[in-house]
Amino acid sequence: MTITIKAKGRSPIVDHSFTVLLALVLSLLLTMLLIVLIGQNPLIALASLWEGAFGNAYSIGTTFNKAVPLILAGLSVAVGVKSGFFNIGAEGQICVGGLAATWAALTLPGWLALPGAIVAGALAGGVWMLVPAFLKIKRGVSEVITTLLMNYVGLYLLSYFVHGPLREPAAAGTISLPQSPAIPEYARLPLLLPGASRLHGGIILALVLVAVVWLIMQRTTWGYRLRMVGLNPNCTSYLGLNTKAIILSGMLLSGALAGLAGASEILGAQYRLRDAFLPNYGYDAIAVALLAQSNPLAVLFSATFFASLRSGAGMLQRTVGLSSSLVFIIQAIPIIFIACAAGKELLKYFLPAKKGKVIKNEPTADI
Amino acid sequence: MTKPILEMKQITKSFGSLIANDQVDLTVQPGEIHGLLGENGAGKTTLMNILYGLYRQEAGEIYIDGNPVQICSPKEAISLGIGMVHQHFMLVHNLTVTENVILGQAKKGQLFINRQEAAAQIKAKAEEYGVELDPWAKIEDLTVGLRQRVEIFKALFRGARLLILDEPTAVLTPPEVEQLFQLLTNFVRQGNSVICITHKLHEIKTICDKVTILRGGRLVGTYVTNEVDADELAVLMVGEKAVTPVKSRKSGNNKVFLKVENLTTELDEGDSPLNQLSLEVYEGEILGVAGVDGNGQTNLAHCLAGLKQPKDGKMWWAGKEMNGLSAKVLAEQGLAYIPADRHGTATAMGMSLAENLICRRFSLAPFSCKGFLSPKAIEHYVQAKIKDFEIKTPSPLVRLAALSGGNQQKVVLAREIDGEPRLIIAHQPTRGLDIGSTNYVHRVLMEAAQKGASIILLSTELEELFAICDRIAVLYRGQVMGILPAQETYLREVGLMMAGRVEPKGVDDHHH
Repeated sequence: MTITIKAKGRSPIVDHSFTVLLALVLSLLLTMLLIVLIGQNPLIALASLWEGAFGNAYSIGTTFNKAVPLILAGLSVAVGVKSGFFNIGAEGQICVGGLAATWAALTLPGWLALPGAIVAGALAGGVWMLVPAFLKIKRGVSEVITTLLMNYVGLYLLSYFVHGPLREPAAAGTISLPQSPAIPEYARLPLLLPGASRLHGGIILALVLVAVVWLIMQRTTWGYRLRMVGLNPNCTSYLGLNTKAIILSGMLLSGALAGLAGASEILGAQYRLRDAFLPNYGYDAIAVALLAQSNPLAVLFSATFFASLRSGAGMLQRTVGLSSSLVFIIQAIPIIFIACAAGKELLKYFLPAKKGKVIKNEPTADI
Repeated sequence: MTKPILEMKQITKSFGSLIANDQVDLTVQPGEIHGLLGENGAGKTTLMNILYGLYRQEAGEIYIDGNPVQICSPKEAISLGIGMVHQHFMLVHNLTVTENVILGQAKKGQLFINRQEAAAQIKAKAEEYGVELDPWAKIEDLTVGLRQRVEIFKALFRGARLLILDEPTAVLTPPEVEQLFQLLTNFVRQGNSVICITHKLHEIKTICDKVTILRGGRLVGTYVTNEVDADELAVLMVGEKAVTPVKSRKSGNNKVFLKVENLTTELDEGDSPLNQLSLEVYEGEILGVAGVDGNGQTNLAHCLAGLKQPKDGKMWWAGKEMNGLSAKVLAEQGLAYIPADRHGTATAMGMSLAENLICRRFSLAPFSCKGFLSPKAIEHYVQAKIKDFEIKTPSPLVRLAALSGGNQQKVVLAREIDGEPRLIIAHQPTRGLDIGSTNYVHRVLMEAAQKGASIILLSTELEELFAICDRIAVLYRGQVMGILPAQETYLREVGLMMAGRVEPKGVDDHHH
């Protein structure tokens, strides 16, 4: 059986870090090549990317503000991966989370507004997960399909509300924009460095939740059950645990985290509900979780990385004069490379048996 | 004399310390149906996998039509005219028979497939062999027997002259078996050959011209089937084993602990349903359950462990009814279950050794408190178990997958045989283990029996059963064929019962 141990080689964490590093270096090289091809100096471009993301207090604040929804939605996807399901639906859960939070912030009185809006966002995200959860548990429908489809329902539901029931009343003789009224001051997440940057309290919420999710997954019996279902649902059934209930609880947790991403964005950054107020963050969250290998602590860093690309790209556009579509390409390149690096992880969801590599090297009775 | 279609000479193949094939010879003549007989683990499948290019032999040569060949992949095997039909079919369920047969068969540069032509060919070939096969039927609408026929036709259309069938009748009904035999007979009449892996003696007698018997990876011999009777074959297959009685412990007392009456389960895939199965296990006794894999072992274990509800029949332990109790409740009340599938069921390989050790009791004190795990208590417990069970590991936090099979099984044992269980169901607990680990598992089971636990050991290894059991029940098609004391003198009878050669009889309880 020595073969199996030898074949394992380095520890998986070292292995993964190496792959990720390689993916990042390669994507950086490709980005620079792209900039050279359009006749710009790649070093200047790189510098302005950094400048845009971390150049001063204001840009740092912006970067972390963009990181908040990515951290929360990234945690949502990570909890899913650890518990054995793939949440592609963070996008829709963000929408309904923001919607519910806006409604609560506009409705609830005084001191209740902010905590109530946060809770409402989480609840809405969880409720949005109920349909995929029900279909998965009762009917065996893959959550990959259902969570994805629920995104469109979420997006259009949001659109309906900002064009209809939640639309700001128009002043006499004008037409109002398709957006909600601004939420009152007392319902907003406070700015942490007023004057210096727009950094808001959502980052504290995100940091706390990183710790909480880590604690749940690693230190509680609930997290233990979730991880066991994620690794081998047959084993939990064999132990006589209620596998379906465990999956349901994991899916609700995942949905709630993504709902919080939408809520914190409205309550901390935008103050108004608009159509598609966090475009593609739910999908980027998948890349965030893959890069972090679903480790909650690593999600913090990978989310910050993707956020810095988003905030740095604006500066890149201004100083080097890149067209906005090229900026999107530059943001997409690392995602593609990381997706490739994490491809093995992804494949697990589409292959039937989850068996260790060990089996092949081991003689069985069937010889 | 014609050249043999296949000659395998002195084939040797080992997996780690286990020698699966030790200088095995096999010769097959054209026009011959050749049986390959042996118990589980005798090396039949390994030998055929070598022939089909799935494994490489370490020593020995293969000759096709007298020419030496190197077979490195199934593709090469196919090009040499070798076809294999596995036990588990490899068909695309929502495609038609024709599409499955011609899948991957397009010639270079060919853009379109002529389904009509292929279907006509299939129909013609089916008629030629005297069987029916609708080329336009979808696989998902076909019975298991017809699906197997499609597999055979797949091989034929790839030019197979030598067809390997792995346990072809295991999944078939008697009329389907008859049709299969007719197909095979017509196939070899044209000068082709068939190798049929089986452990069913009467089939060998019915259709095989010759039979090669393997035992423990070695060749026992090749015989003309007309010249040996089924009883002789059974003895040759099982062997005159030197059974060393390890049973130094006192056997169980006369108190019945577990009583199973008329247990019957629904039909399901993969395993024979139980059919009015009855047995009793005494306190402190190890009852062996012998039988070829798939004769109801999994269903029996699952019913007892609370993972499956029987359709009919009752189970009692210590006089109390077990029916309807959940797996969790049973485990809490002293039932230990060691499943056959260590990787797929008994453990979560991706979790740490420690996490696998506590997975029965993680939600109880002292391992957790108010929903929070207590790492210190867990570590304390795990360290003690690692020591007690001699688990070799660099750390309790290492992923279980990184341990050897033997050490993984020790983790399962340490977990299940914790807190003096009253009933232990051990299903193939030594599968894939080396001798040292096997002995260790046996010792643990015997010690548990010594302490008063009743044990059901389901195994396909007769050696194992005779070594540590008090009595042996033989399972055949979901029924107990008979229960015999585990003494050498009964080895032959057990072998015969395993092949379904003796009429089922009631539970034999004269031995206590």
